[in-house]
Amino acid sequence: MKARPPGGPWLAIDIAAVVSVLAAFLLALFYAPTERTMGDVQRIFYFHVPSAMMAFLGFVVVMVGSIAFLATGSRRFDSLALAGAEVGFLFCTITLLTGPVWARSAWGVWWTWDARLSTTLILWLLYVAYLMLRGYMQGDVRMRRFSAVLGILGALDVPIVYFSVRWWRTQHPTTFITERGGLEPEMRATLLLAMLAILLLFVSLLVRRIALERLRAGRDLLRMEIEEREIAPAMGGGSDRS
Amino acid sequence: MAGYAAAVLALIKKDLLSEWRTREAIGSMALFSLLIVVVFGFCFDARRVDLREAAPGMLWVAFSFSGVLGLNHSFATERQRGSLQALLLAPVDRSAIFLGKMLGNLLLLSLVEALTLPVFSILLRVRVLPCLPELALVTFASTIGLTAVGTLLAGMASSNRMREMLLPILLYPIWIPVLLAAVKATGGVLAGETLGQVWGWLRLILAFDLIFVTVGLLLFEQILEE
Repeated sequence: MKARPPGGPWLAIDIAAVVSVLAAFLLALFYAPTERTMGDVQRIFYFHVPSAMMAFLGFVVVMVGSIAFLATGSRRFDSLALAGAEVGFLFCTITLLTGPVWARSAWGVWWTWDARLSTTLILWLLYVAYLMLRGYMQGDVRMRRFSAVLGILGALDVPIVYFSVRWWRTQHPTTFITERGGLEPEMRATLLLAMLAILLLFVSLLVRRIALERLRAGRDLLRMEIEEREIAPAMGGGSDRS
Repeated sequence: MAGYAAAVLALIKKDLLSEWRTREAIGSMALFSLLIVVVFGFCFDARRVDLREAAPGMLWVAFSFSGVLGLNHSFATERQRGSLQALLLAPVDRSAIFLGKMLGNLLLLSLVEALTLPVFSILLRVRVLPCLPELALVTFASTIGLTAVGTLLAGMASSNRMREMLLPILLYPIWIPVLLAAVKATGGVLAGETLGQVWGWLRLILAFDLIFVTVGLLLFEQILEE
């Protein structure tokens, strides 16, 4: 089994991700007009919103990988779920860090218990639980199956959390996003590019993370082979040369 | 079908009988639940502060904390005695094992809740008698959801040497919606609302129960295999 880092089209996605993130950054800072009431801090929105989308997409990847792993037992799908969790966790953290900065100047508070914010926070906790379970169970053969079960439970939980919190807080503050009808064309263009950029970055990180997992599997095989060769001569038999 | 029910009943009987003989879990769970109520009583002085607003939340903190304690125990002893392997040899469907363990945990936690409630009512000065049937129904429905998720995840956590640390971290994020609904429904019932008035929350609790009992029946097999 030879594991090589992915090249060709995947490398193109890596490059496209880096270029488009830089371009979106420049557009967000210099091209998009300043928002009338919120001022410059609103520019964080161009990265905050796409990151939030990727945070939720990450858990969809976890769920798909988990179900496919339990159905087939193929390690590839486990790697997919793990990569989805790590990359999703990254974007969820970015969302939770950029959100309060914006909220502080838009609403005057760092945090509010509205449906979107609360669900993102629970999502982050679910990611932590998933990654901690894998961390604690490292080296246990049941680790992949158990984390797949938790991945499915978590994915089912997220929509229930959303609806329960929405009910709990029937009158959540209207955000900028719900008033999208009035978005300037330059703002819309910047947002679309930022979304594309963050999506490309998500895919690129996901592919690289899966490839890393495959390399690790290859390394484990090699290590086992070496150990076998070292043990064989000591046992008084087998070829010691190869 | 009759064989399935008999297997489930035998499992519940086994768990309750072994609990009755040792009385390990029920004692510490009930005491822990009581301690949490006492701690709340001291932290938020019931003589000066009107606790009626916060009381449903305190009640569910007490229930869920002692639930974690009981769930940890329910699989820890099975793993220690190696009786889980024996269970796996039994010629029954794996989902029957889930149902048996879950119902055992449900009965145990319900008993702890029933023991906590009078003390809670007296110490925090909350009147529970006028709404007892409604309160019992809301509590029991929510406890089904708690133990369904709890049994599945406790089965997972018990295989790990860090189980006591691991279980609450796994449980609470998933429990959040049912805890929220339970607190709101309990609050409504304690304030004198009818079941019809808290139906929105009750419906959420029942949906949670349905989803996670089904998932438990389907996925418990994955937890048990070595």
